[in-house]
Amino acid sequence: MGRAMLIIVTGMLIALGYTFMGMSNQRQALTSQSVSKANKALAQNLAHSGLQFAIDKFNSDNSWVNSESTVDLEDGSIQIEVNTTGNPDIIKVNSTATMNGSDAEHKVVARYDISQKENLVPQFNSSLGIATDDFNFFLGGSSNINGYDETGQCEDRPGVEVKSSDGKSKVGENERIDGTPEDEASISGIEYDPYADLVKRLEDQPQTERISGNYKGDLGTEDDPGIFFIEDYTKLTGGISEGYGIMVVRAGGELDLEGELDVAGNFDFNGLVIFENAWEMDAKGTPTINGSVIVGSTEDQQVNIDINGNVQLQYDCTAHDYANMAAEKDLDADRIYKQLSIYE
Amino acid sequence: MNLGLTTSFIVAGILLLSILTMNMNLSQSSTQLTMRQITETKSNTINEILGKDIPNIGYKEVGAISSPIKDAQEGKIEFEGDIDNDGSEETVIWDYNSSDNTLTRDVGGTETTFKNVSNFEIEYFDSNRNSISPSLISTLLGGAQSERDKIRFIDISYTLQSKEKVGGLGSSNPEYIEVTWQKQFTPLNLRL
Repeated sequence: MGRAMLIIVTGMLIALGYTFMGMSNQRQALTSQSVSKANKALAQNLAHSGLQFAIDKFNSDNSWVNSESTVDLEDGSIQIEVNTTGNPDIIKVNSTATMNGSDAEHKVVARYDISQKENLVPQFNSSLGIATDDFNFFLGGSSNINGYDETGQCEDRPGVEVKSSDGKSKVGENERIDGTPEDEASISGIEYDPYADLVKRLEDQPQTERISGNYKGDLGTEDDPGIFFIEDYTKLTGGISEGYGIMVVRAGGELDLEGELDVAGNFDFNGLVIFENAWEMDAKGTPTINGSVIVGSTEDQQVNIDINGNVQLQYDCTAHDYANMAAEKDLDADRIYKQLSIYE
Repeated sequence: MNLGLTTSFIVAGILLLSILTMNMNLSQSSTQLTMRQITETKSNTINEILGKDIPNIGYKEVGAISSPIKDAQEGKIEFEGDIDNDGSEETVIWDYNSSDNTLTRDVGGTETTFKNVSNFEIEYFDSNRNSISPSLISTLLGGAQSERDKIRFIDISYTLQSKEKVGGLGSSNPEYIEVTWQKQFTPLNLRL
């Protein structure tokens, strides 16, 4: 019986071994199928990421065109390429991802319009934007703030916009505020950070002019708008009838002097005027600011906004171009990559 | 007869029968699995073609085609796009015929037919991932192009059957092996 049993058990083991080997092969085939699907999905994701890698590379070095580069990652690699097209405003980006240890591959071809650049100056949304809640507000004399469009090219906007309901109650009701809404401020949640960043970037640029004292020079022209920083007492003595670009009036550094702008005659400024940590505008003449005025604070201090005399603040969206032109002279605006098409 | 030898034969017989039964079951299961793999391979062909066509809806080299989806039904979609990236646009139609279980792909008049498709459904979604009713987008039901232009996501599902029926051990009711596939596409050119 012993020998017979031994033969039976051996036969059984061989039969079972054969069966399990067959099962193992099937399991392997199924696993391989799942891995293949996962690799394909990963390759697709990597190829799309490759577009971003290519744009980043081209953005940091515009001369990197018509040449390839490989990005090695843990699971695979991406071959990226930026090609010029017949149109200088359009680039073609190729991205091909391959997975390590697999034949999974995915290729994406996208075309981008690169003719546009981002605006360095935030869009104008009102005649006067108060981007702080810590302020006092007075609007009197013959001064007016007008958010209604007078160019025929802009939408009507608020005369005054503020951060919160607290700011709105500080502005209160005032019939000298025109726009949408009428006689009061609009709560837009305006933040000063974008303007603070702009001021910081502009302050040390070669074309930025610091003016003070009795100033008789020019304040920019329609074709050549400028950037002007006022950090000390400044009087625009007659003869300057207009200005274009960006004017920054702010408290002066270590001396802690409030920037002051004394406008003696009739004067029109077209563009953006930023009052940073300060508001001192003494108008004996009839200054008009076409564009937008922003008041903000980078320090924990109250800003006293006292608009008296005959100051006219007029919202004008077209004046944004002068401000942007002035900023672009020194600063390199980021390119906008507008995707035109994508093929995969 | 020797009692030991008899017992050994009985035990061996039982074991042999068990192994035979198991092997037959495994063989049957293996047949089903093989049939499933064959069906899946066929399904992969459809997936790959759909995966090439649908993401490229509205594609052309410079600037996406405006209003590329010409018809959007539950079992049919017609769209334009340069799907082979050769610089010329093609009109592509995927159409399901439930009466003979065939799915047809037509590219500029050249047809490819896939058989044994027991179910094929397309669902359309707008930019907020809200499903768009076929009555608004189907040409058959008087749907408007302006509504079809709102399509941003396309969900496609289908079921592919094996060519032959496969039954279990001793089963008198063999069945088709079915592979179901589903995917939501986001054709990027529809957003440009």
